[in-house]
Amino acid sequence: MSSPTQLRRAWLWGAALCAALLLLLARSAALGPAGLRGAELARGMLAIFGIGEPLEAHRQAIVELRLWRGLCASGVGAALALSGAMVQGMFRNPLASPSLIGVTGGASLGAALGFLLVGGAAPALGASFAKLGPFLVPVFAFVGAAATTAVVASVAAIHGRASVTSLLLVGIAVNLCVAGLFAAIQYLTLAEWEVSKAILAWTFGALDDRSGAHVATVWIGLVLSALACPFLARELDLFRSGEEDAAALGVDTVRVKWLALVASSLAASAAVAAAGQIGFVGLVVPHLLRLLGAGSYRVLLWLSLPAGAVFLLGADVLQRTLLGDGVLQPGVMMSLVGGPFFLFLLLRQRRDIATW
Amino acid sequence: MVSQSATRLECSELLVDYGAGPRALEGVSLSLRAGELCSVLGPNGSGKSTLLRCMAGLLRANSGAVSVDGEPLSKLSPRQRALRIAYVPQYLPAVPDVRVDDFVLGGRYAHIERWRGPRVEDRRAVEQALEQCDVGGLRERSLAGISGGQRQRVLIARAAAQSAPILVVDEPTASLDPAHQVAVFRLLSELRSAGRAVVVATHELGLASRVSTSMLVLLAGRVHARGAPLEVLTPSILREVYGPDLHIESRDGGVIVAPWARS
Repeated sequence: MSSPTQLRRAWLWGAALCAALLLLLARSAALGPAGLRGAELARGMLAIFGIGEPLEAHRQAIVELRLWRGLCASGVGAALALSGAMVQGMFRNPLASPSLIGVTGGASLGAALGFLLVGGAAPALGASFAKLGPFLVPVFAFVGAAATTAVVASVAAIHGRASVTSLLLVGIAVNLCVAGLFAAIQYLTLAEWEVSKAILAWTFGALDDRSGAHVATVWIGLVLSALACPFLARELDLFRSGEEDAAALGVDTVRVKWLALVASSLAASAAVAAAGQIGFVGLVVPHLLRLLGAGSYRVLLWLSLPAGAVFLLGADVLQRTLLGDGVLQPGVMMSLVGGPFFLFLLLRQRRDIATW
Repeated sequence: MVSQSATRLECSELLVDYGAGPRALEGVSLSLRAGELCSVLGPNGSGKSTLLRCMAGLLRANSGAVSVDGEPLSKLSPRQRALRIAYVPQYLPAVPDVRVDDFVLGGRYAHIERWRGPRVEDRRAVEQALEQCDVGGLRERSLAGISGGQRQRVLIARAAAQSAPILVVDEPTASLDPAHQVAVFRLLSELRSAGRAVVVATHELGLASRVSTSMLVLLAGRVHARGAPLEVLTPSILREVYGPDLHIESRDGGVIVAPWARS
């Protein structure tokens, strides 16, 4: 039976990806104009965890910013990839992704509302309210993401299966609604330039200027979401031949769909709350893993974690190496890379697509 | 007289109304004991699949009840239900690109503990089912890359691997050549004599007549006839159900059905 060899290969891939991730984290920390040397970097890193003496204030701050950037990028990449793999399994459709069907958009909208409350209305509501900010944005993002997924699931899915056409159409509709509301919020906040700018910047995605709170947000969301994997992996494998077929084999399909909905929304919204709107990671990473032979969700869900982290952090390191710091926002970059890749996928499958 | 405890699956007064059109099922009752094989006959759209899906717990009837060993089916969790009832669909709505043996291992889902994974007995059940259904040679092939007839036998193998005492099979021979049609019915008959309760929807009247212990004929969602095969497969009942073009002949305890050439 294939499982043992498949699993062994998956372990190898997982180990290779984790090694690559560590290298990228180190590279990401060393990259930049400040000219920090290895020993200095290591001292600064240890100081963050309370070991040894910190560097002088501004150099220490640079080390911390770079560490947060690396951890944030890897966490966001992993969360988006995991969310994508879950959404694809739930909708039984390899072209589904959190951004395509509007989950990322919904999370962004929620986050923007959170921003509005914190940034716009907070002074009026008092200083104690402003302290809620770091919690409010992720919570709002989660509610936005979960609500959008629920809408997509109920509108697009007939007998539990979302056809490609209905999924894409509902995704377009949801993204339009979200974009409209987003534009409305931006227009209304135009007078308050700072809030408006923050919301606009959100749509580009951001990995620079991250804090420990951002890192905590995405990693907590990621870990909570990943806890669902053991309860979804075999189930989503059986979903591949149809929901009723899985039910006949003993899968509690209602529970699986709810769990996948909550877990994927949690991962996507944590990513959005930490780094704004970054598309295509959730679509592309599971696809690349499938090309490498990870067809089973028992492998795909777990591998999407290190693969997503390597993908987004690698892209970040690459663009910083080639273009220097802060030239392109990650959301913009992913759209530039992801758009053509999506077209490539469609071209590869055009014979199948003709029959949709 | 078979004791009451041997009754495995009982449907009473099932009514299914999909909303549009006439009722899919109305007043259908059926009880199935261990060691019985009941064939459900009837023209296309007569409610065979609906009845089987109710019996397998995949469709909740608007009224009426289905019980397994005296317990209402609706009270069982999906896993408990799958340990007692295996269901073979007429076709898969989507054919995943998985290895045949992995697909058949899916039949063991209800047996496999979440944190332990498949055990030796699960692998053994898969191997046995693959051999029993004559698809052992396909185990390393992809389910998406084999023929429709082969896939049909793999589906039955998966249900056999499920090791449930009740087997609900929806038109298993639709895309099979005559030799494999015989093989499938022989297999169902073997499973029956090994003590399972089998219900099968089919259009293969001749084959069904050889292996069934009872028959149920549906017409427009209602029970039109029931009883032993030779009581049910009479010229008058067949004419009422399938129209006037069939000729039927009893031979060796079974029947032969052939088209009747009208002049």
